[in-house]
Amino acid sequence: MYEIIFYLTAAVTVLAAGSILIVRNPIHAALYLVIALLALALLFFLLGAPLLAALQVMIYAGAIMVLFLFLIMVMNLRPTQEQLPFLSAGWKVPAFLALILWLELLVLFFGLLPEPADETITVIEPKVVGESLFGPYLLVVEAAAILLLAALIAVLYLSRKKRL
Amino acid sequence: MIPLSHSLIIAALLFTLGLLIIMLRRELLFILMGLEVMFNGAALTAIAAGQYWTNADGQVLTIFLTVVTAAELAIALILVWLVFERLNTTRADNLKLLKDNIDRGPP
Repeated sequence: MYEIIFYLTAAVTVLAAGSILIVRNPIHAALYLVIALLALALLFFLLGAPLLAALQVMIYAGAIMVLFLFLIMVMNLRPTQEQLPFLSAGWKVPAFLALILWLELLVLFFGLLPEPADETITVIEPKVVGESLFGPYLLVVEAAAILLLAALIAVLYLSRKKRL
Repeated sequence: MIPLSHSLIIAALLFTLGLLIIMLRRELLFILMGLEVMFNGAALTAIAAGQYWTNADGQVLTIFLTVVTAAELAIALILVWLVFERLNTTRADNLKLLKDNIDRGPP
């Protein structure tokens, strides 16, 4: 039963990612990207990585997509004339893919599965990830902090008002 | 238990789709979205391998991948905004200038 949901979610991910290739409107592409990222979060959850699933929803579908949408709206982009225009039916296809994801979530939450048979998911708990993160990988965490600081400074420098 | 090869197939499909988006679409924002899809294919590979060997290293690698993606995307988006502000275009085909002489006109 988990396998069915897994492969359905994988199909949703690949369909949404493939739709980015052929849509014309940047907003629609952003919608498909949100769908793909959310479906990927469900894939992570089904593989047994609940921490990464939550992080995927928060960071990718939350923060990064807000950046994309903000830039699209600020630049006021028009639909381009460059690509084949099928599957540009606006919100319908993303809504359908999101509906599939939502139904899968309902099935997972309310235990509509027939029975948890011998098929089990090996879950790696967030505690193990945290111990690994702040144990042998502590130096890399510091390097990531420095990288984020450098990115922050670079963005502040590039977006300054007065040109030097 | 999902076989490892199936997860790897899905990750490879995502990576290939991201590469196709980067190569076929000529808008800068679409190129960045293709980069996101490629990063997520790599993340799915890392997580599937980590679950296969029951090791937390895959998730740690994915966390760092997220950090790198966030840093890259912030700088790339501000560069796209600067390109749009100065050249008034977001198509990669129109970015042909190596020297910034827009304000001063031709010398």
